[in-house]
Amino acid sequence: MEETINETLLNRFLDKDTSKEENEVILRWVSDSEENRIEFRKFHRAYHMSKLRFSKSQIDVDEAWDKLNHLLPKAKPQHKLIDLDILRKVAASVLLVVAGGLGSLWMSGYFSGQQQSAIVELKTLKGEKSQVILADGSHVWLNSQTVLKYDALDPRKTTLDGEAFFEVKKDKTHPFEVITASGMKVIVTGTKFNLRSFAGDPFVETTLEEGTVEIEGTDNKQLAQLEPGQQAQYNIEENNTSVKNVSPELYSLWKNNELRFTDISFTELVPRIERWYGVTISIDNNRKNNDRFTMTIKTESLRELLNMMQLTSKFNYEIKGEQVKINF
Amino acid sequence: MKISNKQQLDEVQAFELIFRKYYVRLCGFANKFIANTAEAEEIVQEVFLNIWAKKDQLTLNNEIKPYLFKSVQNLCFNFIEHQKVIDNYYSVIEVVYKNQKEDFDTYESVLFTEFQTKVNEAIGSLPEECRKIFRMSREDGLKYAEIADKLGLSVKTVETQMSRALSKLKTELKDYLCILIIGLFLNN
Repeated sequence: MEETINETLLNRFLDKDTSKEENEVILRWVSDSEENRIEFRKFHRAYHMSKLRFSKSQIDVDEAWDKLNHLLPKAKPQHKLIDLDILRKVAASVLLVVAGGLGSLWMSGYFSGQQQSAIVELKTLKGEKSQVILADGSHVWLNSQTVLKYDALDPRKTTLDGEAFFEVKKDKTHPFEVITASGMKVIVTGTKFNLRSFAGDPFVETTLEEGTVEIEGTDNKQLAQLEPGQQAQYNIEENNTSVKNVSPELYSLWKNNELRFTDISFTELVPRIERWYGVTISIDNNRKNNDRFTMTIKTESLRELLNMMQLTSKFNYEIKGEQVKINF
Repeated sequence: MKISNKQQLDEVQAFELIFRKYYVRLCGFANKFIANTAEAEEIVQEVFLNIWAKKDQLTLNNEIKPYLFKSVQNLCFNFIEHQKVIDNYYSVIEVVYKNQKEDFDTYESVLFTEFQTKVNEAIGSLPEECRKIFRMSREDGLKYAEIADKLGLSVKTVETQMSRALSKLKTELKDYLCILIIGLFLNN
């Protein structure tokens, strides 16, 4: 075996420019002794090092990151109410906000003139949920895509766009108000109720679990007074309310990380699934689907849910990111 | 799907930070063994995918470095294991590097500027034609044939000059070469 090796050959080898036979020669040489391997490593280091700068310029980190980022399996928006470490004090003596869950919390405080006010805005994005304990001790759960605003100095005056469940601390002398975007108001003293008022929905739905609530229309006139187990559907356009008896716990299930439907049509199901999973569903409505569904969703993925539904109902679906297409 | 919870956002950010910090270095490291930039990138991407899958058991910070290099090395040797059957280039690499411990920790201790100065000095000390050829190859990324064409030399001459340059570099940098080559990848 040769003791030394031609460095031109090594260089060509590292350039991958050698023949199989030449490689055999090198293979024999490196197999021969540790000295030879050390020699090879030294030469290889010099070779590699001198090339690094150029090969580095060939690599596009941004592009590589984009590529990888697209491949990462991302968790679907979660529905758990997890306590966040966001604890913020605004006007400490007045208010302590505990923002829970995965919801994002925006707070914009401002103070104007003599009349001090600090408007606090809590907002959840698609697929997020959150909860807050107001300074008066009332507990509010926010469903996804919901905005709750209140004055930190008077937390019993709130406005809501979206869906929230209120557990209002009893205080007969200070009524608790929720004003919806439509102008409809819910006035309570100490109750548990679910309020659903998404911009674009024709109805505002108030479901009472405990206590009493008053529904006021845009003209501050009382439209209805609910008893536990009753649900008021406020028709925004007509400024009137119809009341029916329901199982109230079904309407606030979202806050318990569980979504339950009892004998519900496909059309009624769609907006709930959309909000639960943070997706947009479009239905190709060539034919009508009259199937009714009863089910409970916990941690199932959207795909699992749809597959489950396909067992009893005939439809096809296609999920593309946040867009879901369904045709019957 | 959009990432819309804070915890996951933080995770992705931490992950991206690690990725951006080590990606090029790991590619350089992988490339040393497998001599194929595209494959090297694939391997490093795979390592990061694995890390993402195991992120709950790992901490996404600098402590992950030895794990990163080790994983890249393992995947490189898997690749070599398969490739050596068709290309005996990889048999050589395997014989030389199998069971060879690479000291990843020294990678970061390289005093980059000092090292780079040494490299420049070493290149500067090469005979003029040799230096010119070397720079055309390493800095402009030209192939030997292209260099030969440009300088009106034979490919054989270019080859000889290149190996001479590397040989010289090897001697000049002998103290520094034990430290990580990847040092060149640090920062810029």
